[in-house]
Amino acid sequence: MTDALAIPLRPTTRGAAYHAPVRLHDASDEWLAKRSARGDADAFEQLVLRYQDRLYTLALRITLSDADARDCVQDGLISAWCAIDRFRGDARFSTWIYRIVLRKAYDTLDRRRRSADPSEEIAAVSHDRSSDDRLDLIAALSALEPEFRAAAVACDVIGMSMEEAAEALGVPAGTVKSRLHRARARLAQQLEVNRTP
Amino acid sequence: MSDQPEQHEEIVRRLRDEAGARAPAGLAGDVMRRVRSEPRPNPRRRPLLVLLAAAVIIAALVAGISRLGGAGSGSASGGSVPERASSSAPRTAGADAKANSIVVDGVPLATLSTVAKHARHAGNALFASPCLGNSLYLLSVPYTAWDAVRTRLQQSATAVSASPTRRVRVRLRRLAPGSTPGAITVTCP
Repeated sequence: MTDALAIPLRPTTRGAAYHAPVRLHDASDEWLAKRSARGDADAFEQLVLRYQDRLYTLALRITLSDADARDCVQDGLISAWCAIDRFRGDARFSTWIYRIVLRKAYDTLDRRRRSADPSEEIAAVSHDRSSDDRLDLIAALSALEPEFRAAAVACDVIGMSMEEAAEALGVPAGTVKSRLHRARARLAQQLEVNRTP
Repeated sequence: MSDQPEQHEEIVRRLRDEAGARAPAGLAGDVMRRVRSEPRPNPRRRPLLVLLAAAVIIAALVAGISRLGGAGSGSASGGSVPERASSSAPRTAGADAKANSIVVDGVPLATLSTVAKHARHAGNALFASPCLGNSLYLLSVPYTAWDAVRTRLQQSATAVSASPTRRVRVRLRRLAPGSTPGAITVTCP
């Protein structure tokens, strides 16, 4: 589909030479973001396809709800499309888009807390506890507090560096490091307890 | 126990392999449908919009200020915006004649005392406590006496006095023709 698309760039202002056509599939995030800022929806689609799984994972593990995660990713990507001309390229595109979706996920948690209806969260957790009653990895992850969960998901599941996670989460790198350490320790403990007959 | 590095590595490996999720089918399609129908604001037009908004705000401010100024000098409003006649910027006779309320700064207390000598409910008591410390006096002037009182106070305000004298601010209010009281009334605000 879009893999086959190749968009020739305009000639440079200095001469008549053309850049070689850039295949969207091979283009860097930043190049695609620049094209998107000029209104190129195909370039943005490439970014959506590239990031949808990671963004969905991030939102799902934070909100613990499939429907909320879907909404967060959709809203986040639409927000990104509307504001992509403000993406200056100071940070990586991935950090920028993770931060947008993370903010949506945290907003969802806040809304849930304010509505003081714990049933929603319990339902979401119990959904993740899957068919058997044993605490598996996902259930143990879901049982962590949101800030520890976010650090573990950002670094260990999505694969962000400590610095990137710090920027996306809006906390210092040291805080991410300590949260990550505690999250791993809690998960290890939880899974150990679970393994004990 | 759970702090063991091996355990942590195992957790990291399991999180990486097992905790990922695939986006639901149709998510990208839904997003792109909305993206293509969403008119993204053109960044090139944004400075123009900002300039336009600023121009509208400035025009509104100018209009508001000129309207206030007009009310002050037009003065059919019965003194809602006091017209100032200070010694440094005396008003023209025509403008003062039209005003129903003016403020005269720097009136010697002695002049005010003389004017107020004939005032109703005034006399010496006016300048006794609690009005003694005041620097602002309100003078209600009958319609027929307005020009004489105003002129006298304005002249005294601009006149240079050889001896040190305490100067005050006087707000004059012209009473409507035929209204009571028929004499000058001085009050302390």
